[in-house]
Amino acid sequence: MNIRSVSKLDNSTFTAKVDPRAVVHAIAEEAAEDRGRGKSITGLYIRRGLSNTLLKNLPNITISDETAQKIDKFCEWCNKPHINRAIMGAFAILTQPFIDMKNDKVDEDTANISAIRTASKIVAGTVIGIGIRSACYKVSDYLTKKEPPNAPPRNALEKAVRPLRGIMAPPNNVIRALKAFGPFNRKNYCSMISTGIGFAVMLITNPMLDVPITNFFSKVCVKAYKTRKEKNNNPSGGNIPNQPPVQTTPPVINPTPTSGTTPTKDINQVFRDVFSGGQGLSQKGGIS
Amino acid sequence: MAKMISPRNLELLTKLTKYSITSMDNVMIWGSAAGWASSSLAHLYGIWKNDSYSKDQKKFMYPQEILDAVSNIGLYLGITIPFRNFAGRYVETGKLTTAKIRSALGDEFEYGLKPIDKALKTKFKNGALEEIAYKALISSHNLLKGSVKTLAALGAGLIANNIVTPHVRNNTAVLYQNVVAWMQNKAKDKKGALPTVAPAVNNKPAVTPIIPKPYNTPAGNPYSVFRNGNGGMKI
Repeated sequence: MNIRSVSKLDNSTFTAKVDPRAVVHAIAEEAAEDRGRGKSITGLYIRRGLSNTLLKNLPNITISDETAQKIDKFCEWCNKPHINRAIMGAFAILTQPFIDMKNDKVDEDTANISAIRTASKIVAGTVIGIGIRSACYKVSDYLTKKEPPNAPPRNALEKAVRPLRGIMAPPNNVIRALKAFGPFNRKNYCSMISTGIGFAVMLITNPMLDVPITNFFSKVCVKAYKTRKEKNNNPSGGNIPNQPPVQTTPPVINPTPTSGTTPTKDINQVFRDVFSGGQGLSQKGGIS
Repeated sequence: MAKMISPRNLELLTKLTKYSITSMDNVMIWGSAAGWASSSLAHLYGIWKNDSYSKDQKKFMYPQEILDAVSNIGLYLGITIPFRNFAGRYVETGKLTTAKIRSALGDEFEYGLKPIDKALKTKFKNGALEEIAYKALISSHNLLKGSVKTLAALGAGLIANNIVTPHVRNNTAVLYQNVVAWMQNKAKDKKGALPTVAPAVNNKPAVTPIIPKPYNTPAGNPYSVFRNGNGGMKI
């Protein structure tokens, strides 16, 4: 029996053998609808053909209402912008520095410095991102929460911002009118508002906080890395007994005549400057 | 005291509410993409304001940053949106659905081909479903569809951000470096200078220097302008 043709998770034992005519028929129906709405149907046959064939071959999955509610609760939690950022940051710190460290296209030093910069950016971006987004979530929670009747303000700040409470809350008649699209979830609504507010705030805080803190972290970490490497290479602290000091001159690549004219900076020198500071390759560490 | 809402605000609130009910996956996807974009803008601003970089370094770093942002955002959207759409269709066509909806539709329905909300509507119009049951089923179907799409967007975003993008980014950086070095070499070659050695990557030249290789024949390449009397290369 062909495993792919059997619906395993469904209680019924009917075989879901792909009928190409049925697939084409379904696409044609959809295309006719798109054409009726004035939409372009270019590529629809290919996309839907692939998608429908794949769908038809995958197993049917039936879940209980309780499981559906649990999935919904989990999504509601994930939709909060600070939680989303935390999840992204946690996965990023677990994967990205190691990928940069294992980059075989650059030498070991560049790879290590690149990994340090990536890790610094992830840590700085995640910490700042979570802080700002959670503050934005609090603000949007206040803006979308309806005013409780006769509740006195708890402090002077709340008294000052009281008129703003609930100004973004949708009226009940709107919620009732939109019931056909699905149940209204205030937490999701609040997450959406806070995502927008957070983006606007981070347009300002990214250059003001994120970039300087990332640079500070990476400078400290790169310095520590270089010091540690020097110590490992030369445990005696740099004084090698009974050996004359070796004068090292950097190899001259592509010497340019300097007499009479000011030498222009070679692009190779630019690369060396850039990469020696660990700036060039992979300095990004995820979203902020 | 009830707040007065102007018609324009009411329209905005209605749109936002509808969007929050139907498209939380879009909020996640476009919110993340906007985050990437703002982060890249901030880094460009940081480079522009940083006096420790020379003009030449900045010339190199601006396009690299822009290229980086375009590849990151493009990959993120390119992976996340199709994955999300497919997950949406998985629920939409009833391949993944609740037990109540499956029992309402029965086994004769072609799961995986047609949207189940239309099938439920047909059943409701035919009188096979009561209005309350129909509305409850449609509501739970929409809820599940939204949740699965959000989960798919989250999962695909994690894969795109943390596994695919770093690999592509590292390769793009090296490729960009090589292209710039090659262009520099070409420009110098035109002026008649010796071909420059490209920046060493992994202790090897990133771009093969433009030096003609000797032929294997003892006499060397008869057409080479570099040919000397012994058949070797004169460089």
